[in-house]
Amino acid sequence: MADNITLTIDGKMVEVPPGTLIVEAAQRLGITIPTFCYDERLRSVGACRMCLVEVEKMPKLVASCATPVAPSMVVHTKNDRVIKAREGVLEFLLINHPLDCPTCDKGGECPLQDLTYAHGPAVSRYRENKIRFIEDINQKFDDKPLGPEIILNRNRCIMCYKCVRIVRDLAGEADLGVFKRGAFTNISNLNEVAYADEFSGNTVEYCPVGALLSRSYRYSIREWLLKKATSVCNLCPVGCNMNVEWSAGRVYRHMSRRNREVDDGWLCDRGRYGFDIFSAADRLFKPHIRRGSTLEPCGFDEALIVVSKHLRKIIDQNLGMQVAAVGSPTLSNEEAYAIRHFFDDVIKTPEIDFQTDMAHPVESGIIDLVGLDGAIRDLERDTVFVIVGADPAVEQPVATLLIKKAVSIRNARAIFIGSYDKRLGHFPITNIRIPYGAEGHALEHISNRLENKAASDDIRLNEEALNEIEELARKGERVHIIAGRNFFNHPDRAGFLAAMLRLRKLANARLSILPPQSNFIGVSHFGLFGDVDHSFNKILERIDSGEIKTLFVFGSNPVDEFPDRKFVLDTLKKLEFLVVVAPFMHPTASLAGAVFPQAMLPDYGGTFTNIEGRIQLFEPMSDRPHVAVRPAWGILGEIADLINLGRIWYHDREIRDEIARQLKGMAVLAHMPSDGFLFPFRSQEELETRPVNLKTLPARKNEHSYILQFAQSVHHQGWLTEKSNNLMRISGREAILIHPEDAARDGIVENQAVTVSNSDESITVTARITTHVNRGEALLVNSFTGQPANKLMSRDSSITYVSVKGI
Amino acid sequence: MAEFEKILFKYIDFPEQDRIDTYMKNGGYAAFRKAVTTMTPEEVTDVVIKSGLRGRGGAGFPAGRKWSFLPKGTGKPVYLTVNADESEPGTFKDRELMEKDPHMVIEGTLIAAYAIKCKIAFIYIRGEFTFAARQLTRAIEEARAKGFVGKNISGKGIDIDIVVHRGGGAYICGEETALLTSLEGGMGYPRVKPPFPAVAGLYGCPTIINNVETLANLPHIINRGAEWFASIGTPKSTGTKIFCLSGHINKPGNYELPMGVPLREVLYDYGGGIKDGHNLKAVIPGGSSVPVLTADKIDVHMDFESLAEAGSMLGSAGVIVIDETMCMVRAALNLAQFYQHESCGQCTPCRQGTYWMLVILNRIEHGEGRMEDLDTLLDICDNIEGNTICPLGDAAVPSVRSTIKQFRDEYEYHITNKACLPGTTAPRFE
Ligand SMILES: Cc1cc2nc3c(=O)[nH]c(=O)nc-3n(C[C@H](O)[C@H](O)[C@H](O)COP(=O)(O)O)c2cc1C
Ligand code: SF4
Ligand code: SF4
Ligand code: FES
Repeated sequence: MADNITLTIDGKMVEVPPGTLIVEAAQRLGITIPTFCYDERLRSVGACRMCLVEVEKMPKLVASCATPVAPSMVVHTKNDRVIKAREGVLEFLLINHPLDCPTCDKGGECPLQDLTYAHGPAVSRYRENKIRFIEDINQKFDDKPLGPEIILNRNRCIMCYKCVRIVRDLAGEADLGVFKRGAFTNISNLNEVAYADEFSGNTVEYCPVGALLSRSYRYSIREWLLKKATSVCNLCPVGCNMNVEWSAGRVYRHMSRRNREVDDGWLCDRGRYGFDIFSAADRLFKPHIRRGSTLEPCGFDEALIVVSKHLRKIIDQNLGMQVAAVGSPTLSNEEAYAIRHFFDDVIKTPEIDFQTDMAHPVESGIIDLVGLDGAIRDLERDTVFVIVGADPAVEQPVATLLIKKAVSIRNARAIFIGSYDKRLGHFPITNIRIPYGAEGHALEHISNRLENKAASDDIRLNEEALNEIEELARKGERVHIIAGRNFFNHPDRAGFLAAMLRLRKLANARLSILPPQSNFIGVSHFGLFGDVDHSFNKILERIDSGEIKTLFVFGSNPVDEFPDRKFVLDTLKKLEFLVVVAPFMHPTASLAGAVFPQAMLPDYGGTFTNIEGRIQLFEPMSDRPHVAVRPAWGILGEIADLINLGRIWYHDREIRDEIARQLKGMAVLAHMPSDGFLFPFRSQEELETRPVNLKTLPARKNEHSYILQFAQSVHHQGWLTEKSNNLMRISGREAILIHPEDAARDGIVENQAVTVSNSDESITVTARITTHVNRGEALLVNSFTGQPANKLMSRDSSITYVSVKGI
Repeated sequence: MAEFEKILFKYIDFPEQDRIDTYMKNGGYAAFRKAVTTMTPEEVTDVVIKSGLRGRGGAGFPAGRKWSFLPKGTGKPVYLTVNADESEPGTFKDRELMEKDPHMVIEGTLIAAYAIKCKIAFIYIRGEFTFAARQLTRAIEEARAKGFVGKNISGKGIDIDIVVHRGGGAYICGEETALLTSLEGGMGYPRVKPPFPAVAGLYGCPTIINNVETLANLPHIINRGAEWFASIGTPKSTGTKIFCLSGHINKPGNYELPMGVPLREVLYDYGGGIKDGHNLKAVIPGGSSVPVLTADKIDVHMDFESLAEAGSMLGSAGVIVIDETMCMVRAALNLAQFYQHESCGQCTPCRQGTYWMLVILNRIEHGEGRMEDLDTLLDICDNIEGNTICPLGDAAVPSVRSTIKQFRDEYEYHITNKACLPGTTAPRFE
């Protein structure tokens, strides 16, 4: 390590590590140098010149955001020369700025306004016409849509290049660029391709003026009328910190709340723009109870009484075993704990599971392995990523930024093993294509090489890529094996896991199995994970056989999620009593005897546990516009009261206090630190290697059959995100991807409507023809509930065969 | 008019000087051969340092000293980039060298490449210079056929290749870091310095950028020695300089003269005096980016130091002659237009400042000026100068500032009378 550097700024000495920029060194002394284009997370461009300072012995003023410190530097940030230059820069920035602050979204939170207030001229010497970019003469504002969500007002742009750098260096895309020169320089999307990458909303948040706007927020409210609720995003397991900004019960936007350990101030567009799910038009705000064949809205107490009477009877007759409950991996830790506690201790039933989207539940050993090996920030230090059965860019977008950083800045290698190609922005990656289900086989090829064993000839792989992985692993690079969503629904999960564990050992790698849902780790560790014998699949069987007569569903939507739609529909209809806690009247809720409107963020408070095991607090908004919505613990608490057991919980904090008392190592929960705390959830013993016994690979049934696979996108994940108008505006429609050879044989052309069917059921989607998928396989992307894909699945088989026919 | 020996232009109009055989008959490639066979790269650098040769691209930085800034032992390749983007208004010397004596440029490039141990040199040439680009490309092929370019030159294990890259015709791409960005395939945006190109230039590797004329001097320095070169010109501005004469002058064109020659001699002895018998009003002595000199200052000597002392600069030695019929407001407007158009737009003071100056000048020229505009213009100049990423911003200032300072009466007349000073009408540059 090189020695620290000592320098003087405004007469004060400061010691900083070499490479520190002057602006950062000043910050340490509490001296704020005004900046526009500087952002410590982006490469300096030194373009706005707002941060000019004087360095003794240097002839010109220097940009403090682009100049590293040097020993014995003497810097002046406030002398007359600096102030003159700074005022000059501000005046220059303002001459062609429209100063339409009264109608600009950024008003009130605008760095240009704030710095003009602090340093700027009060009157203008500029008497000329301002340069104006007129986009549409019939429009009131000079707004130019760059894509479905992002809108640009070029008049306001001060050319700080932050948006361009966010797109190019952070997201690794190439959709925004600079056009023209001189005073006519402007930002635009390249080739008129709609700008809608996964991180586009960050350009709006970090634009220092109101040049970039979100369609969902534009002209809707003044910033100072918004109140903020500290929150955590619930749409993926990274758990980005954010503020939910609301007024009069309506959520207007999500803004990042920078947590350097987790998100570093970035949000993906799913998390940022999914805020309107909260106020969706068909959101459920009233309980419903069934009268005859219809579900009718009712008061909260009325619904409570119906459910409580039913439960009282069951308890009195000691029939708790006839009751089952299933939660969802998006519930809070407190809800999970409350559900477990209520059904275990009050109802006395073991029939509890935490998710309904799997027919083959994960074994307890696997649950203890799920999560990130190490901290999120460690990702940027890995040098080789072997990403297998996962698409982290879609499943954990903001954490993937660190993989992109490692690849783009540190030249790390990202190698994707999967049956269809993935991308990491435009950063260089390698895709090793394998047949469906061959993840374990591919990993074994690598492990065999590392042990100098002969390769088997079960599959053929890209030798060059294998050589590279072998070489890197032998060189002792920091290898990180990452599995994800496809691991959980893999046809040979045990074999896949064993193969990963073997490679982990041989390559001395880290191994992470990342869950796709937000609080998978919290919900499973805080109570809802039981054992395989009481999985949702088993619960359904017991409903089918009449052993279970009452089912509580909290937050999940089995009719749309369970991989066998017909079976789940038929079975749920056999229940005597179905209670569903849901944010929407979805197909599962429609079957219920009683429906409670589910609280969504920020209706309530609590904690989530993210992929690294960080437990993070989210708070409710201080208004409670939706009087009847409750989190699971709110409903169960009141039921307990009504069945004369006394109300158990009034507040999420009480549940945390209880967990703090009851669970080892959880005492901190009673006093949640603001940046959360890391809870060591991963079991080390489960990492022991085990014999690898791979199942034979699934074969195509006949030449017209396809093995069906599923992929989501950042903007669309299923029945919940479907409720967001914002996300649906950005997201593409559903499509089925098939290989050109298959398409030619089956007479299917690009963009043709096709039916995808098994022997009984079919859905209609659009065909896309691409070599990114294998022959004999079909990839359904962006599945919508209108064409439910689980119609085609059967719980008896983890492989779905379909035929695809043009209409 | 003292007699002296031309160096760069000695054979400029010699028949077929652009062919390698003629060039070699006239002594060409002897210097390069001498360098690679009898001198180490360090010795070549040393000779160049001793010769006092200063960059001819505008800034006048000592060439040998620049080379010696290259960091040693980085393990990265070193690049040489020849700046042939010549776009400074009033400057057309590199073009003549490249078109008529391309081998001299190539030989100079080879010597510099040898001195800095560069294996691939790039010539970044202004897009409009089609003929010059063709001449250079052909010269490189001829030199390759003779074994001066390519692998294992002179059997000494030296590899040097030269690539001609044609620019898009943007003035800013003559600025050395914008040139590098453009060469890499990016938009011609200058980079913040430090790091200087010698440390992190093309593709992040140590890179030397030199002007065409600078390099063209090298064969002669190697052939005839540092002392000989240093004896020409003035002690601090050694050698000869090609002056590009344009404007209201009887004999416009390129003149190679020793550094330190009096401006009066350049104008009257070589340039043949002011056109149409008019009186001289002003001279811009170093390309459009330097302050104008009034007619009474023409006894100044044309070297870096003397011109600086006189309040201007040698710059690229584009001598623009302005006679009494020229409206100085119109002249300033003309140049302001150029700088506004050529500003890359990356940094605020240049992007907005050049535009603001242009609109004000336009207003004044069209009879809508206000007296306070003049102070505003001067203040804009102050706010641009020194505060930008690259020197283009600084270059846009002198024409405006110096014309206001020295011809304020013409501006005031314009503002008050909404017309040009009688007798000064429109620019007549042809
Ligand atoms: C706006 C601008 C344009 C320039 N154009 C040229 C040019 O066309 N040719 C040139 O040789 N140098 C030009 N320069 C100077 C170069 O940046 C650089 O100083 C020069 O090429 C270095 O070579 P030298 O040391 O041999 O003079 C320009 C500088 C600026 C700021
Ligand atoms: S649009 Fe905003 S972020 Fe992009 S360059 Fe302009 S001011 Fe900067
Ligand atoms: S001074 Fe002008 S040309 Fe140079 S970087 Fe700034 S805007 Fe671009
Ligand atoms: S903040 Fe330093 S130049 Fe913009």
